[in-house]
Amino acid sequence: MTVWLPVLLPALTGVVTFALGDRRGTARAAVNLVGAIVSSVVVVSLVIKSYAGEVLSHAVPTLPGLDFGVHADLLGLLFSAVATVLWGVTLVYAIGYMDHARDRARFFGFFAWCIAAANGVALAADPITLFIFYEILSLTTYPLVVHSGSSEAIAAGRKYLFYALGGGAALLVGVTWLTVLAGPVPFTPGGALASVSGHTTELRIIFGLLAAGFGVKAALVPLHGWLPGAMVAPAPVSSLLHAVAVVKAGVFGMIRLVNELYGPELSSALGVAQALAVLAAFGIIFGSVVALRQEDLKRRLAYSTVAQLSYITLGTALCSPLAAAGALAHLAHHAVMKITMFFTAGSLAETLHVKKVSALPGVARRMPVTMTSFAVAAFALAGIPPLAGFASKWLLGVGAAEGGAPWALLVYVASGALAIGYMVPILIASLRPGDHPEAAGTESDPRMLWPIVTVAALSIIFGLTAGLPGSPAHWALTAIAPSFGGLMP
Amino acid sequence: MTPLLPTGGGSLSFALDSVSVPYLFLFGVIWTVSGLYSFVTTPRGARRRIFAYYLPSAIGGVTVALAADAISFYLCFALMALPAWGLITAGGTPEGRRAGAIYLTLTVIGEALLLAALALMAVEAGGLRLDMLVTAMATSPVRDLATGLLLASIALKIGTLPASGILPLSYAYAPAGPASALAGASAKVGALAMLRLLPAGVMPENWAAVVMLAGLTTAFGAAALGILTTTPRAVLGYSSASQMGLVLIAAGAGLADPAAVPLSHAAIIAFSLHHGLAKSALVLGDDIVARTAGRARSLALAGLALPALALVGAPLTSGFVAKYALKDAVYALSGSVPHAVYSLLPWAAVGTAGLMIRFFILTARHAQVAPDTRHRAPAALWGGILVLVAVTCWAWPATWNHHAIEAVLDPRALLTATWPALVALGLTAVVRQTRGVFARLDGALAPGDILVTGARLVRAANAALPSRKPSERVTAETGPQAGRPLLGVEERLVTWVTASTLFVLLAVALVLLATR
Repeated sequence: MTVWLPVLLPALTGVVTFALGDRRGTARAAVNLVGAIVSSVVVVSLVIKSYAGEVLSHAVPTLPGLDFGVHADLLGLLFSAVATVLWGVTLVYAIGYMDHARDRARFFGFFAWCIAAANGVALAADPITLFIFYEILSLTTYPLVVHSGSSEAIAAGRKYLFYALGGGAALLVGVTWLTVLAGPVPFTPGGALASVSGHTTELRIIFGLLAAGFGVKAALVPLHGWLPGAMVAPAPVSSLLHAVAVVKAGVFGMIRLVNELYGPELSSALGVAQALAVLAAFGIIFGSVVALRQEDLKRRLAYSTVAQLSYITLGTALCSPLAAAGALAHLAHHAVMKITMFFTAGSLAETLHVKKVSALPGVARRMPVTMTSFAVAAFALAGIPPLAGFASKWLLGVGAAEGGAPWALLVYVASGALAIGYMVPILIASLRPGDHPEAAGTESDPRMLWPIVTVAALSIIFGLTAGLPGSPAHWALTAIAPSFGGLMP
Repeated sequence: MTPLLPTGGGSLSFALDSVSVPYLFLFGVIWTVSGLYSFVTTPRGARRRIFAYYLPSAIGGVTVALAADAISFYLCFALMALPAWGLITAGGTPEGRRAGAIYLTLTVIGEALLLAALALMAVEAGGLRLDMLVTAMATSPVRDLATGLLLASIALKIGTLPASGILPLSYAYAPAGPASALAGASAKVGALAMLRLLPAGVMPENWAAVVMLAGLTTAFGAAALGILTTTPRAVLGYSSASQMGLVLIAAGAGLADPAAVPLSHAAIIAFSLHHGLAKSALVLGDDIVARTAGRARSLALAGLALPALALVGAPLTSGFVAKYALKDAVYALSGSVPHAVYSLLPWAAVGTAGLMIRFFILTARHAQVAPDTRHRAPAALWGGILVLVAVTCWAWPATWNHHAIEAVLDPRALLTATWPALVALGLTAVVRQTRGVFARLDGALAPGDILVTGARLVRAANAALPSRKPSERVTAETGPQAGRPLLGVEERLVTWVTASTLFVLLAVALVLLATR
């Protein structure tokens, strides 16, 4: 049963938060933080077990021949650990950010449930369980997107729901069809469809349905439309949506789909992996170029996310061990880099009312620590060594070359240059002299400042330790190896 | 599986070998002297701003000489090049900002190309050490692609035509101290990359020919562009581009013929040492002239003659040694292209001499920027560099060239070294006599030439593109930038129906393509 705890603990935290109501702020903060810390400890202990080779699993029988099961493999635990640990950091930030907001019980309650659902997606042992948690994630995120209640937020929320439920529908059709075709298909490293022979057309269509379902949350162009709109949500939610839980659930689904449902071999043989790779490559360039043009800070970050998520999808679709590992590592690396940026954007909006790139001059002088953290994340994202983004991009690029797709290497490199193109102007603008009347060096609320510094430090640490056991890059290599016949790093 | 994981301290490796020593010396001297110069000439209040960029750049600029694996090389390369943006834009003028933007764009593109090349090579080599990467290229199927990417990246660093504007742009707007560091060390990182990364001796002949011709074209083309500019440091920038063209010739000479590799490498090293120190001294000297008056000024102008003559390759200077090294490398090759290059080389010196004369004319015109009585410390630093310009290439065993040593005693060789300067002087006299004809050309070019024009064109094209009237709802979403072409596509994409239809169509098309 321990394996259910990463799902149950945040869910329980959410229930208690709702029960406490809007008034008791201190108790709510305490319950949430304790929930996050205990969940993190549980996940870490599962990781240690899994590294030692012991994969816990548990299934609840529902319908005949239909189990509702989770398993704590290294692959899923990577996503789960990212979501759970960053949940704790985001909580501290959110407590500072939402200090004067209304409906805080609703906010923190759904926040916790989101994490429960994300952990469910991460640990799901088969496509059906994954689908169920995926839908729960869509539904629990909706109240967070529309939290402010403005008409703009409602519109964005409606759009999000349309996309998410449409994607869910595609997913459901795909999963059901596949089960009819192949029987129960628990995720298996290297592919679970060995028993199916022939049926190539059906398998291709099913792959398309599943990829479309995951593609919605993974913001795979052209299914990314909901993401920039969802920027109206409060900053902690943007951070959660865009860096940790929701979008990563999409790409994580892609990773399971290619590596552990179809398997790299079958995916290439059917031609579907190549098709996905081309779509993702287009998404990378498209997202990067559109990001160059965004004047609104959060929207620029959102399009950057569109590009970066396609990095992961492309790495997965290349079906080469190093690229697949790079993709999985980038899932963690991008999470810490992008969450730093969204935290910063939130701090600037909340403390200085700065939301546009053109309003940035003077900001670096006013909030040097915050902007330095942002700069670290920006350079990490652009792939400057020895920061986190470089480690994953190096794996992705080398994997692309190794997998016989040097064109993908060029896409990665070009998008690295474009990333500098949309990030550096932000830094340059903030360094220009401008007037923010308050004294230089006055940062935002410490509850918002320290989480930023923490996650920025993670983008350095993940890069520096990329070769050591336990770092996301090393973890990713270990987790992905079984899908490619058990190669070890 | 090969251990290709980028670890932190674990795989960043640094080593001292016969290539690192001269470059460590060169970069160490230049970044230190220029740093001290910046310190004594920058007002107290502005120091923080300058050194926030100078120091990281210097760390990357010095350690790159020691980098022994792909990751540390790329790291140092980036660490040197990116913060230099802050030095170029330190003046805060619109021209400086524009120069910084162009510099940053080209640098980022160059770095991207370098990274792609390194990744390709690392896969082939199954490791990260630079010597492994180069060795693996000999038999690799991606040899041509990797070499092409490398050469493109190096070309952007050393200002090979048509990118020669990057050097004048990076010298012209930075304060004198940082500018001298960039002038002496920045492009030399490109020379170091040639030594460390180019698969010397294993490429087909036509690669060597193309590279040598690109170098030759730049040697002449950049000189011609430089003569048309109007600020002393822009002239120096074009002169660097032209000289780095010669270094590119040396690199090309070693690409195809294994026997020519040692000569080619010796020439690159000699040229880097000679040109790095001399160019740094010229930039500092130009600033000293601007700070002095009367006798001190005359003395400074006289001091400038040493590095200027060295660049022209006058007898007994470091340039004399470097040119012999280059000639040896090219002379060793057979074939029509090397022969043509060999016979045209002396004419490149005419261009350089012309540039130096132009530089002197412009520098002598300098109005004194500030009646600065405290020019002792800057002048002393400059004097130190001048001493190094005079002795380094003679005292450095690695650059000893026995042809050069013999030639010092040979009157005919001395004449060969002198005539280009005389021709340039003669041409200058003719131009000055016929001022009316050439006056229109004087100052025809801002520093940065086609790059600046190109940037303007891009901006103009962007502004001129027809903009669609966006619907109001969309304006609210995409902000004032709405209506640009790609955003127009984006607006249509974000509707759910379009998106899903597109996805299905794309998926079907791609699967059909992939499975044909």
